[in-house]
Amino acid sequence: MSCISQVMVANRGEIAVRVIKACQDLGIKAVAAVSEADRDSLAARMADRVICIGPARASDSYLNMGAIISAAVGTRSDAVHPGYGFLAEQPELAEACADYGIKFIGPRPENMREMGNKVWARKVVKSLGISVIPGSEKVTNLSARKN
Amino acid sequence: MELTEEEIIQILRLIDGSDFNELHLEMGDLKLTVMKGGHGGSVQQRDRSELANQLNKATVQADTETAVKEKVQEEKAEAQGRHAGDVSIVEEEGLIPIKAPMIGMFYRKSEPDAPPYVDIGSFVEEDTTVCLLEVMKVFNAVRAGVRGYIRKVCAESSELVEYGQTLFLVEPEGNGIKEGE
Repeated sequence: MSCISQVMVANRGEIAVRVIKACQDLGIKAVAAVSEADRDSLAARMADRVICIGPARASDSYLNMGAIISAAVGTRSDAVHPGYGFLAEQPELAEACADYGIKFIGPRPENMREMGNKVWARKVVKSLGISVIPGSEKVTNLSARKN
Repeated sequence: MELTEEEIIQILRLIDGSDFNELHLEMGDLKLTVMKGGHGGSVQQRDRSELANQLNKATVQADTETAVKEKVQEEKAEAQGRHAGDVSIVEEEGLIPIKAPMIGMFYRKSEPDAPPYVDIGSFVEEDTTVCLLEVMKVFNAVRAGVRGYIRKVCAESSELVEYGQTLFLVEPEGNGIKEGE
Protein backbone atom coordinates (compact mmCIF):
# COMPACT_ATOMS: atom_id res chain seq x y z
CA MET A 1 0.00 0.00 0.00
CA SER A 2 1.44 3.34 -1.02
CA CYS A 3 2.00 5.98 1.59
CA ILE A 4 -0.26 8.99 2.03
CA SER A 5 1.80 12.10 2.69
CA GLN A 6 -0.83 14.75 1.95
CA VAL A 7 -4.60 14.73 2.38
CA MET A 8 -7.00 17.32 1.03
CA VAL A 9 -9.98 17.93 3.28
CA ALA A 10 -13.10 18.83 1.29
CA ASN A 11 -15.28 20.06 4.11
CA ARG A 12 -15.57 22.92 6.56
CA GLY A 13 -16.04 23.81 10.21
CA GLU A 14 -15.58 21.32 13.02
CA ILE A 15 -15.45 18.39 10.58
CA ALA A 16 -12.48 19.87 8.72
CA VAL A 17 -10.75 20.81 11.99
CA ARG A 18 -10.98 17.25 13.28
CA VAL A 19 -9.71 15.68 10.05
CA ILE A 20 -6.83 18.17 9.75
CA LYS A 21 -5.81 17.55 13.36
CA ALA A 22 -5.93 13.77 12.86
CA CYS A 23 -3.76 14.07 9.72
CA GLN A 24 -1.22 16.27 11.43
CA ASP A 25 -1.08 13.94 14.45
CA LEU A 26 -0.12 11.20 12.00
CA GLY A 27 2.53 13.38 10.35
CA ILE A 28 0.43 13.83 7.22
CA LYS A 29 0.14 17.26 5.60
CA ALA A 30 -3.37 18.63 5.34
CA VAL A 31 -4.73 20.85 2.58
CA ALA A 32 -7.95 22.68 3.41
CA ALA A 33 -10.22 23.10 0.40
CA VAL A 34 -12.31 26.10 1.40
CA SER A 35 -15.02 28.29 -0.01
CA GLU A 36 -14.37 32.00 -0.18
CA ALA A 37 -16.34 32.43 3.05
CA ASP A 38 -14.07 30.02 4.94
CA ARG A 39 -10.69 31.40 3.91
CA ASP A 40 -10.07 32.64 7.42
CA SER A 41 -11.72 29.78 9.29
CA LEU A 42 -10.01 27.79 12.05
CA ALA A 43 -9.59 24.87 9.65
CA ALA A 44 -7.84 27.16 7.14
CA ARG A 45 -5.55 28.49 9.85
CA MET A 46 -4.63 24.98 10.97
CA ALA A 47 -4.03 23.50 7.53
CA ASP A 48 -0.61 23.27 5.94
CA ARG A 49 -2.05 24.72 2.75
CA VAL A 50 -5.32 26.41 1.84
CA ILE A 51 -6.94 26.31 -1.55
CA CYS A 52 -10.07 28.26 -2.40
CA ILE A 53 -12.41 26.08 -4.45
CA GLY A 54 -15.28 28.49 -5.02
CA PRO A 55 -17.66 31.11 -3.71
CA ALA A 56 -19.55 30.90 -0.41
CA ARG A 57 -22.50 29.05 -1.91
CA ALA A 58 -21.94 25.33 -1.13
CA SER A 59 -23.24 24.19 -4.53
CA ASP A 60 -20.39 26.14 -6.13
CA SER A 61 -17.70 24.99 -3.71
CA TYR A 62 -18.10 22.01 -1.32
CA LEU A 63 -20.62 20.36 -3.64
CA ASN A 64 -18.68 21.15 -6.80
CA MET A 65 -16.99 17.90 -7.72
CA GLY A 66 -14.94 19.43 -10.54
CA ALA A 67 -13.51 22.04 -8.19
CA ILE A 68 -12.65 19.43 -5.56
CA ILE A 69 -10.92 17.12 -8.04
CA SER A 70 -9.04 20.05 -9.61
CA ALA A 71 -7.88 21.19 -6.18
CA ALA A 72 -6.74 17.70 -5.19
CA VAL A 73 -4.87 17.17 -8.47
CA GLY A 74 -3.42 20.68 -8.50
CA THR A 75 -2.16 20.50 -4.91
CA ARG A 76 -0.75 17.01 -5.61
CA SER A 77 -2.67 15.53 -2.72
CA ASP A 78 -2.50 11.76 -2.35
CA ALA A 79 -5.98 11.47 -0.89
CA VAL A 80 -9.26 13.32 -0.43
CA HIS A 81 -11.15 13.20 2.85
CA PRO A 82 -14.73 14.35 2.27
CA GLY A 83 -15.68 14.53 5.95
CA TYR A 84 -19.39 13.81 6.17
CA GLY A 85 -22.38 15.36 4.43
CA PHE A 86 -21.72 17.30 1.20
CA LEU A 87 -20.21 14.84 -1.29
CA ALA A 88 -19.16 12.25 1.31
CA GLU A 89 -21.93 9.87 0.22
CA GLN A 90 -21.66 10.49 -3.50
CA PRO A 91 -20.18 7.45 -5.22
CA GLU A 92 -19.36 9.70 -8.18
CA LEU A 93 -16.73 11.56 -6.14
CA ALA A 94 -15.09 8.31 -5.07
CA GLU A 95 -15.07 7.19 -8.69
CA ALA A 96 -13.66 10.49 -9.94
CA CYS A 97 -10.88 10.29 -7.34
CA ALA A 98 -10.02 6.81 -8.57
CA ASP A 99 -9.96 8.07 -12.18
CA TYR A 100 -7.38 10.68 -11.19
CA GLY A 101 -5.25 8.32 -9.11
CA ILE A 102 -6.31 9.88 -5.81
CA LYS A 103 -7.38 7.83 -2.81
CA PHE A 104 -10.88 8.52 -1.53
CA ILE A 105 -10.99 8.19 2.24
CA GLY A 106 -14.36 6.54 2.69
CA PRO A 107 -16.41 3.59 1.51
CA ARG A 108 -16.09 2.12 -1.95
CA PRO A 109 -18.59 3.52 -4.49
CA GLU A 110 -20.46 0.21 -4.76
CA ASN A 111 -20.90 0.12 -0.97
CA MET A 112 -22.27 3.66 -1.00
CA ARG A 113 -24.76 2.66 -3.68
CA GLU A 114 -25.85 -0.40 -1.68
CA MET A 115 -26.15 1.36 1.66
CA GLY A 116 -27.25 4.85 0.62
CA ASN A 117 -30.78 3.78 -0.25
CA LYS A 118 -32.45 2.44 2.92
CA VAL A 119 -34.86 0.08 1.16
CA TRP A 120 -32.02 -1.36 -0.91
CA ALA A 121 -29.76 -1.53 2.16
CA ARG A 122 -32.37 -3.62 4.04
CA LYS A 123 -32.60 -5.95 1.05
CA VAL A 124 -28.82 -6.38 0.88
CA VAL A 125 -28.49 -7.02 4.61
CA LYS A 126 -31.38 -9.52 4.59
CA SER A 127 -29.84 -11.32 1.61
CA LEU A 128 -26.77 -11.93 3.75
CA GLY A 129 -28.89 -13.70 6.34
CA ILE A 130 -28.66 -10.86 8.85
CA SER A 131 -31.91 -9.99 10.63
CA VAL A 132 -33.11 -6.40 10.48
CA ILE A 133 -35.54 -4.51 12.67
CA PRO A 134 -39.04 -4.80 11.17
CA GLY A 135 -40.06 -1.75 9.21
CA SER A 136 -41.79 -0.49 6.09
CA GLU A 137 -40.83 -1.98 2.79
CA LYS A 138 -40.89 0.04 -0.39
CA VAL A 139 -44.18 1.93 -0.69
CA THR A 140 -45.70 1.18 -4.09
CA ASN A 141 -49.05 2.94 -3.85
CA LEU A 142 -50.76 5.73 -1.99
CA SER A 143 -53.15 3.54 0.01
CA ALA A 144 -50.21 1.57 1.42
CA ARG A 145 -48.64 4.86 2.47
CA LYS A 146 -51.78 5.89 4.37
CA ASN A 147 -51.72 2.62 6.28
CA MET B 1 -44.55 47.85 -15.74
CA GLU B 2 -43.48 47.27 -12.18
CA LEU B 3 -42.56 44.22 -10.20
CA THR B 4 -43.14 43.93 -6.47
CA GLU B 5 -40.35 43.02 -4.06
CA GLU B 6 -42.06 39.67 -3.49
CA GLU B 7 -42.10 38.93 -7.21
CA ILE B 8 -38.42 39.79 -7.56
CA ILE B 9 -37.50 37.54 -4.62
CA GLN B 10 -39.60 34.78 -6.16
CA ILE B 11 -37.71 35.15 -9.45
CA LEU B 12 -34.38 35.04 -7.60
CA ARG B 13 -35.44 31.90 -5.74
CA LEU B 14 -36.60 30.22 -8.94
CA ILE B 15 -33.33 30.86 -10.74
CA ASP B 16 -31.40 29.91 -7.59
CA GLY B 17 -33.08 26.52 -7.42
CA SER B 18 -32.92 25.87 -11.17
CA ASP B 19 -30.18 24.53 -13.42
CA PHE B 20 -30.11 27.79 -15.34
CA ASN B 21 -27.37 30.32 -14.76
CA GLU B 22 -28.97 33.30 -16.41
CA LEU B 23 -32.37 34.89 -16.78
CA HIS B 24 -33.20 37.75 -19.09
CA LEU B 25 -36.68 39.11 -18.64
CA GLU B 26 -38.24 41.88 -20.68
CA MET B 27 -41.70 43.14 -19.85
CA GLY B 28 -42.58 46.40 -21.54
CA ASP B 29 -39.97 48.94 -20.52
CA LEU B 30 -38.68 46.73 -17.69
CA LYS B 31 -35.56 44.69 -18.40
CA LEU B 32 -34.28 42.33 -15.73
CA THR B 33 -31.06 40.32 -15.94
CA VAL B 34 -30.25 37.80 -13.22
CA MET B 35 -27.06 35.72 -13.25
CA LYS B 36 -25.66 33.15 -10.87
CA GLY B 37 -21.97 33.20 -9.83
CA GLY B 38 -19.09 31.92 -11.95
CA HIS B 39 -18.22 35.02 -13.96
CA GLY B 40 -15.15 37.19 -13.92
CA GLY B 41 -15.05 39.76 -11.14
CA SER B 42 -15.65 42.81 -13.20
CA VAL B 43 -18.41 41.16 -15.21
CA GLN B 44 -20.12 40.18 -12.00
CA GLN B 45 -19.73 43.70 -10.75
CA ARG B 46 -21.40 45.06 -13.86
CA ASP B 47 -24.24 42.54 -13.61
CA ARG B 48 -24.74 43.39 -9.98
CA SER B 49 -25.08 47.08 -10.67
CA GLU B 50 -27.37 46.32 -13.58
CA LEU B 51 -29.48 44.14 -11.35
CA ALA B 52 -29.49 46.78 -8.63
CA ASN B 53 -30.65 49.38 -11.16
CA GLN B 54 -33.41 47.13 -12.34
CA LEU B 55 -34.46 46.41 -8.79
CA ASN B 56 -34.64 50.12 -8.07
CA LYS B 57 -36.56 50.69 -11.26
CA ALA B 58 -39.06 48.12 -10.10
CA THR B 59 -39.46 50.16 -6.89
CA VAL B 60 -37.79 47.45 -4.84
CA GLN B 61 -35.16 48.17 -2.24
CA ALA B 62 -31.78 46.63 -2.98
CA ASP B 63 -31.57 44.78 0.32
CA THR B 64 -33.07 41.57 -1.02
CA GLU B 65 -31.81 38.22 0.14
CA THR B 66 -29.34 37.93 -2.75
CA ALA B 67 -28.02 41.45 -2.39
CA VAL B 68 -27.35 40.88 1.30
CA LYS B 69 -25.61 37.60 0.51
CA GLU B 70 -23.41 39.30 -2.08
CA LYS B 71 -22.54 42.04 0.38
CA VAL B 72 -21.44 39.49 2.95
CA GLN B 73 -19.34 37.74 0.30
CA GLU B 74 -17.72 41.01 -0.71
CA GLU B 75 -16.86 41.86 2.88
CA LYS B 76 -15.35 38.43 3.38
CA ALA B 77 -13.42 38.74 0.12
CA GLU B 78 -11.92 41.95 1.45
CA ALA B 79 -10.77 40.17 4.58
CA GLN B 80 -9.21 37.34 2.57
CA GLY B 81 -5.63 36.76 1.60
CA ARG B 82 -3.80 35.70 4.77
CA HIS B 83 -3.07 32.21 3.51
CA ALA B 84 -3.87 32.75 -0.07
CA GLY B 85 -0.47 33.75 -1.44
CA ASP B 86 -1.05 34.72 -5.04
CA VAL B 87 -4.61 35.77 -4.36
CA SER B 88 -3.44 38.60 -2.16
CA ILE B 89 -1.47 40.33 -4.92
CA VAL B 90 -1.65 43.98 -4.06
CA GLU B 91 -3.62 45.45 -6.87
CA GLU B 92 -1.82 48.37 -8.39
CA GLU B 93 -3.62 51.65 -8.42
CA GLY B 94 -5.83 52.18 -11.44
CA LEU B 95 -5.46 48.58 -12.66
CA ILE B 96 -8.43 46.26 -12.77
CA PRO B 97 -7.85 42.59 -11.93
CA ILE B 98 -9.23 39.76 -14.04
CA LYS B 99 -9.90 37.10 -11.44
CA ALA B 100 -10.30 33.35 -11.83
CA PRO B 101 -14.03 32.59 -11.93
CA MET B 102 -13.30 29.02 -10.84
CA ILE B 103 -10.48 26.84 -9.58
CA GLY B 104 -8.56 25.08 -12.35
CA MET B 105 -5.35 24.69 -14.30
CA PHE B 106 -4.39 27.96 -15.95
CA TYR B 107 -3.45 27.95 -19.63
CA ARG B 108 -2.48 31.04 -21.61
CA LYS B 109 -2.55 29.27 -24.98
CA SER B 110 -5.15 27.20 -26.78
CA GLU B 111 -2.44 24.62 -27.56
CA PRO B 112 1.29 24.35 -26.84
CA ASP B 113 2.43 25.82 -30.17
CA ALA B 114 -0.20 28.53 -30.36
CA PRO B 115 0.51 32.12 -29.32
CA PRO B 116 -0.89 33.20 -25.95
CA TYR B 117 -4.41 34.59 -26.00
CA VAL B 118 -3.11 37.86 -24.58
CA ASP B 119 0.23 39.31 -23.59
CA ILE B 120 1.42 42.44 -21.83
CA GLY B 121 0.21 45.39 -23.90
CA SER B 122 -2.63 43.46 -25.59
CA PHE B 123 -5.88 45.34 -25.93
CA VAL B 124 -8.86 43.42 -24.58
CA GLU B 125 -12.57 44.00 -24.73
CA GLU B 126 -15.18 42.64 -22.34
CA ASP B 127 -15.67 39.44 -24.32
CA THR B 128 -12.02 38.83 -25.28
CA THR B 129 -10.80 35.40 -24.20
CA VAL B 130 -7.73 35.90 -22.03
CA CYS B 131 -6.96 32.33 -20.95
CA LEU B 132 -8.34 28.86 -20.37
CA LEU B 133 -9.08 27.16 -17.06
CA GLU B 134 -9.17 23.39 -17.14
CA VAL B 135 -11.44 21.56 -14.71
CA MET B 136 -11.60 17.76 -15.03
CA LYS B 137 -10.44 17.87 -18.66
CA VAL B 138 -13.00 20.52 -19.59
CA PHE B 139 -11.45 23.75 -20.83
CA ASN B 140 -13.31 26.90 -19.86
CA ALA B 141 -12.59 30.17 -21.63
CA VAL B 142 -12.17 33.16 -19.32
CA ARG B 143 -13.35 36.50 -20.69
CA ALA B 144 -11.71 39.78 -19.79
CA GLY B 145 -14.94 41.42 -18.62
CA VAL B 146 -13.24 44.80 -18.99
CA ARG B 147 -11.93 47.03 -21.82
CA GLY B 148 -8.31 48.03 -21.69
CA TYR B 149 -4.68 46.99 -21.96
CA ILE B 150 -3.11 43.99 -20.23
CA ARG B 151 -0.42 45.36 -17.92
CA LYS B 152 0.55 42.30 -15.92
CA VAL B 153 0.19 38.53 -16.15
CA CYS B 154 -0.11 37.29 -12.57
CA ALA B 155 -0.28 33.49 -12.96
CA GLU B 156 2.01 30.86 -14.46
CA SER B 157 0.82 28.69 -17.31
CA SER B 158 -0.01 25.04 -16.46
CA GLU B 159 -0.34 25.86 -12.77
CA LEU B 160 -3.31 25.57 -10.48
CA VAL B 161 -5.15 28.81 -9.82
CA GLU B 162 -7.74 29.05 -7.11
CA TYR B 163 -11.12 30.69 -7.20
CA GLY B 164 -10.80 34.47 -7.06
CA GLN B 165 -7.06 34.51 -7.81
CA THR B 166 -5.91 37.49 -9.86
CA LEU B 167 -4.84 36.29 -13.33
CA PHE B 168 -4.20 39.58 -15.14
CA LEU B 169 -4.13 43.27 -14.34
CA VAL B 170 -5.75 45.54 -16.89
CA GLU B 171 -5.26 49.24 -17.45
CA PRO B 172 -8.75 50.43 -18.33
CA GLU B 173 -9.10 52.22 -21.64
CA GLY B 174 -9.12 55.99 -21.31
CA ASN B 175 -6.48 56.27 -18.59
CA GLY B 176 -4.24 58.20 -20.95
CA ILE B 177 -1.88 55.25 -21.52
CA LYS B 178 -1.67 53.72 -24.95
CA GLU B 179 -0.67 50.30 -26.18
CA GLY B 180 3.00 49.42 -25.75
CA GLU B 181 3.79 52.27 -23.33
